[in-house]
Amino acid sequence: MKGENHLSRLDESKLYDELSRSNLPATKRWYAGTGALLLVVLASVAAFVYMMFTGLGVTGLNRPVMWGVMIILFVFWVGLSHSGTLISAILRITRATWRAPVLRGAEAMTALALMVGGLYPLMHLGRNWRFYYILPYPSARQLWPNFRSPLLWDAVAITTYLTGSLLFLYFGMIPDLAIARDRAAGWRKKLYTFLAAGFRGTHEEWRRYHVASTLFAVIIIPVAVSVHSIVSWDFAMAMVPMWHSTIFAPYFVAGAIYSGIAGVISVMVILRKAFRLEKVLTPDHFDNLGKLLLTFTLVWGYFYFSDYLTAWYSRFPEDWEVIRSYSGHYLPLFSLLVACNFLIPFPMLCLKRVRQSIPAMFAVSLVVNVGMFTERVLIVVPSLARRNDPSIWGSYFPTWVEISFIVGSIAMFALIYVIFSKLFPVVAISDVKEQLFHTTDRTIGGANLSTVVSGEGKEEGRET
Amino acid sequence: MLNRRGFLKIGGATAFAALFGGCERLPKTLVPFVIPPENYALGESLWYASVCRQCPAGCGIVVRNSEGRAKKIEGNPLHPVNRGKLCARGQAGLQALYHPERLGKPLKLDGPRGSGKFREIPWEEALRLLMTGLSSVRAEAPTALLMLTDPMRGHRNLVSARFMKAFGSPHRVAWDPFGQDAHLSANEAVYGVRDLPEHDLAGTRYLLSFSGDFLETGVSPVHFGHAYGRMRAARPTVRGKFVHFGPRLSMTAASADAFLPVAPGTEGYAALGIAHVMVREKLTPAAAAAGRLWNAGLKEFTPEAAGKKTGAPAADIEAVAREFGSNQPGLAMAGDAAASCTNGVFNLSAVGLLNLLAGNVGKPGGISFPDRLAAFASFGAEAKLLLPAAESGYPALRDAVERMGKGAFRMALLSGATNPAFTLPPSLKFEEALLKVPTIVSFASFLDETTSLSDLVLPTPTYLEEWGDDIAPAGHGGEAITLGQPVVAPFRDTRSMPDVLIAAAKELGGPAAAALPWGSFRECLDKAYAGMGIDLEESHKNGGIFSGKADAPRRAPKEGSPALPKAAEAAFAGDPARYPLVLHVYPSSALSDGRGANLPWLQELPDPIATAVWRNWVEVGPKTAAALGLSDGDGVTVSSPFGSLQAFVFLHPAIAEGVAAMPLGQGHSRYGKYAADRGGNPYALLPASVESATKAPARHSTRVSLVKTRMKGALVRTVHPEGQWLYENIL
Amino acid sequence: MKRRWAMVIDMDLCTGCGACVAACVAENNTPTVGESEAGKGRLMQWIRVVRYFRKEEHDETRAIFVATPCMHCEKAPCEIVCPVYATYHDEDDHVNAMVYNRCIGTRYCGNNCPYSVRVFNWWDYKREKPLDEQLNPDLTVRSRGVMEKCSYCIQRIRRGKETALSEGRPIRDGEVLPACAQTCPPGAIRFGDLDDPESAVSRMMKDPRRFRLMEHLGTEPSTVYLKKMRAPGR
Repeated sequence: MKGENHLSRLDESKLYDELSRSNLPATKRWYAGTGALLLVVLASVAAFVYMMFTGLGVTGLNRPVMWGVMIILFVFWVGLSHSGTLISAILRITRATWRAPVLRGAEAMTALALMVGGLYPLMHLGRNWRFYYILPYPSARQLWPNFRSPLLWDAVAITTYLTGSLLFLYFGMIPDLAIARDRAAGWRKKLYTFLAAGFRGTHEEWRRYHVASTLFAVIIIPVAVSVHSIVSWDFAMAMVPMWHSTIFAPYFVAGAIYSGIAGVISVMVILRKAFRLEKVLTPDHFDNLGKLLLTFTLVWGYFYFSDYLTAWYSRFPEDWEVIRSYSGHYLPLFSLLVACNFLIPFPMLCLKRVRQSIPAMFAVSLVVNVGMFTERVLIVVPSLARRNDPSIWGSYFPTWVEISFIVGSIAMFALIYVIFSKLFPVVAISDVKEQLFHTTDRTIGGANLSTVVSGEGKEEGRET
Repeated sequence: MLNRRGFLKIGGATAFAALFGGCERLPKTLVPFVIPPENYALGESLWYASVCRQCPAGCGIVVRNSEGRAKKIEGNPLHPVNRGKLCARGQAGLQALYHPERLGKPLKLDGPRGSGKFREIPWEEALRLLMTGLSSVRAEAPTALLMLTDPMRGHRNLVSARFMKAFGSPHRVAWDPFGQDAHLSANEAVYGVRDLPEHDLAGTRYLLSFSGDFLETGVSPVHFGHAYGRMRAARPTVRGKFVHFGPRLSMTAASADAFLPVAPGTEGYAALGIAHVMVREKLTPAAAAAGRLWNAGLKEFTPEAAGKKTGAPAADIEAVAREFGSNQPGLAMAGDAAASCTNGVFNLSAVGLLNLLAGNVGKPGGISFPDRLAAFASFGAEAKLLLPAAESGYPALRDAVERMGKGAFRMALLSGATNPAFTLPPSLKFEEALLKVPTIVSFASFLDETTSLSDLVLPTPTYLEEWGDDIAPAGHGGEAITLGQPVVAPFRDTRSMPDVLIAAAKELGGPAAAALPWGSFRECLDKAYAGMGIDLEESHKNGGIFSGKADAPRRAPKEGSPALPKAAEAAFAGDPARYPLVLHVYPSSALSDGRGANLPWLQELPDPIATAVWRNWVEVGPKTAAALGLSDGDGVTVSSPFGSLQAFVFLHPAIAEGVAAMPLGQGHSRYGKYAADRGGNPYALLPASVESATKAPARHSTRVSLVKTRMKGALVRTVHPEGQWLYENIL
Repeated sequence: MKRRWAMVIDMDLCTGCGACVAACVAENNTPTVGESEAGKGRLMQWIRVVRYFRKEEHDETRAIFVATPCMHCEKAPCEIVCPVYATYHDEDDHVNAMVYNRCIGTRYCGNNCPYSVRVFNWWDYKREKPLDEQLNPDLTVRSRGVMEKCSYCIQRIRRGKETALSEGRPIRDGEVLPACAQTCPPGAIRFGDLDDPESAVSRMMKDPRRFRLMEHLGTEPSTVYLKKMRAPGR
């Protein structure tokens, strides 16, 4: 029924059980699935250990292509991590009511994708065991790291973002952890008690919670924007043709958000199915996410086109050689990119019918992320393969080690997500509840009181 | 970097030998310095001067010795041939010294004959086997001993020659596939001197090269490289012009100002075309006086006729002739590709004619014929043994092969890097003939194809561990005798060939012992040079005896006006319908005739033109390739009437059409893991044809066909095939 | 004692022989990688001789050789991107120095060098005995995971400075030479101190033929080139 609160279908008393279905005790199927994921992750860890002890020669890297799949994975996963924070933050600030069921899953995605992505700068080092040289610690050589290097900005930015998003996630979870604590038993009760930090749901605590959430949301946005800008500057600060572009920072941020929203959609579809959250995550949610995705299809397309157009038009010899390769050796990848990032999503997302169809949205979101992965490949590889000195041009193809990293990263993300969703409520229960009873603070007489208005305050009441 | 304190006496070699002896006792971690060896300062290096034997050029080297190990080879700045410079092959000598597959103990055949399966035996047994063989041959049929080596120079050659003479066998063959027979005959015909001249590249204003290979291989690449540098840069206002006629843009041709492709074997016609214009237009005084030459037939060799024969435009030949005539002193040189055709002497004589017409004989910027053996006048007839004529020895080798086949030999002594089993055309059936000799003894450091056929292998030290002397065949005017010394103590159980021969002679007794009366080869050298009134110690420090005499005696050229060389076309075996392309083979700059193929540094050195490593290739021009349906990188089967092999195509943008070119040097079946199985052996495509006048090998005498074939892998090239056209991008 | 080392490569003299490559390999303990690794673009040689083809007048194709060692740029793009200061500009010698034991192998410097002169140790290269007897004791053998590149034979520069200092005299022009310059037969590679106005390289810097590779990038290389000339006419 129109205008009705979408959550009114939910029975408040059963709300918790509905939304926390993922926290039910693990079944055999859960263990089997998690075990399988763990095996895949361990296989890729084994590949990494082999690489660490043998040398980076086991990859397909060479001169001139000295960065490959590991950096691509780094950029991809950090990009994907822009999902949660931005959706959560932007939606909180704009008070979009439909955000509630999506928040937790998105915020978790951020933190976990960052954990996965942040591994790769450490993994791709030639001497990983000396990674700590990059940290400003009091060394016997009395050497600081080089603050002029974009890689160091990376280290700072990723650490900051990871810390920030973990705190953001944790902080947002405190009320839910309190609910969980109240309903749990055994070791879970101990865990939730510890994590809930004594939240009792008093008015004062709620007030502080709201102020802090808003503040966090406001602060995390510039952090997120700066992180991917800094990641983009790993490329833009270099003298490599087609990397040295001023548009890289906004272009990467737009691409990251694009990739992140698509990721959120994919994850939400899976969560919805797995934990039977059909009533909570409705086609309207996907409709709205789809609109957001459409916006970013256009934004990403605009930035990509601008970058390409200026390079193509000016025909600087070095840039031209790389662009020429897009229609030459790299044509298949380039076609895949344009198709998956624009030609397919754009028309489809324009149709409400598509946006409201969950299977269609799942398909579109996967296509977009395939496209975004291809985009990372096309950023890193052709520019290096067709660098300034034409005599040394080369090519790159990943080996089994790098492919195991790709598969392993997806498995690792899935594994951590599965464990997270097993332990913690994957839907922001308190936020959902909040939407059921929207309160405002009114001044009556000399007192500040919370008064209850149902829904958005538009309808008269609730159906009983 | 040259240690300013100079080179130090090698007398310390005895001390080294005492301290280190065999390889096992070489200290690896702690160096015992309670009683340090002579001339040994930890952390400081000693530099020992010696001679390089990586190719026949004979450059002088100095080698850095750090804690008893050779670390770096540099050119000897005092040596007139190379003046402190050294090529890549010279640098790689260290890898020959420390090669993992170097023979360290005598080997006895341990399998079927010719199988190359050996087991190690001690020297006593090896020498006993040798002496048994030599004694019985000496007693029964001394002429049944064959010595087949690479061309030797210096006292090493003298020792071998005396040995064979005293033994009673005339059968001493020195085989060098790249011998200069055609040059020697042509020089005799044109200049009246049967020798290799000095080319004053540094002083010339116009250099005409006819398939010249002097910057990459040839007689003395470092010398000519250095001279080239001086030609271009040492004179403030003169840069010189360098024009190259030849079938392909080689490394040498790439430095030319003008490259004019000509069909293989037609260099002589190009030269006669130029001579024609010079005489017709009286461009030089000598050309103006060459009326008899004109009437003898030079007037027929118009630029147009030359253009028809060579494929070069007549206008270009005329223009070059005029420039050559008016930019004297000019110098004309010819290279191996012109010499090793069936008409090689004609080609080279025509080129020599240009020098006569330029009037540059004996003048700066031209050619001259120094007496390089002037310092050895006191040696009498034996002086020639120190610097024999740089011939290929092909007629003698073929004769020897025939005799081997008839069973005329009972024992063969083999040595040298020229590897006849690898470098001879298969139609000669060298391997089959050699195996008819009942006892084959090799003196070698590596098991190459020839050595693998032996019954007994006596391991020799590398040139960096030996005493010796040398006279370079070119690059000096008789003012340089190079002295070699061990730069490290020999660390394998090896004995040099002259030492073994001396010991053998002593045991044989009689005239042999009398002919080689010394205790060791070193004693032989010391005695020989003692009589020359020089400070031997000082000379060893300097790397040789450099008299520095500016005007060493030169031999006068022939008097009388020049004669017209008898024109002849090069013959190529194979029906053109079936074998449409002419094969042009050239020694590769890294591997030369094949001897460098077992050294990893040389295998990994990109070829200057093809930029390929670790494998050979076949070059064709774009039009030829298109006609055959071939693209860059395709696998093809290269077939001549005599053999076939597989190779990858390198599309060469500056090669005469109708020519297929291949570098020599790869295609080993033995010679160690770095050399073996890296492509086919182009020597195996060649016929046994000879240059008509000298009977030297004519390598450019066959046609080939190229048929596309699927091959595994690809040719590794270090310069990107597309990027190689984008030079402007790096400016 | 401060110096400004520079290298001038005269392309008119370079014949493309590759002696410089072999000398550098011998001097600097460069590993040999083999055919399959070479095919993957993993050659370790610090100097390479690049043969370009050019189409010149009359549609003729000619070859030109560009010997490419490290440019030792005054404004080196590799130095600013290294997060750990493993590569920096030495102030005493004005060379781009590489510190192997500080390098953690991010390979950013290798990507940022427009001349692609940096190489990376993809493996722990084995040197078969007794080939390792030849290793130069004046410098290290690098482990897997570190970058390396031409150092202007800094070990020779150091030794030259020490020798001159111990003898109480200045370094003579041409006394300190990297391996490539020392061996080059036509003398195409010249090396010396720009702070010495009498040195050969100082004179050559004023040559109108002088140019730098990719000069528009503003890297200010210390390795400069003299244009190859070609005599007119056919």
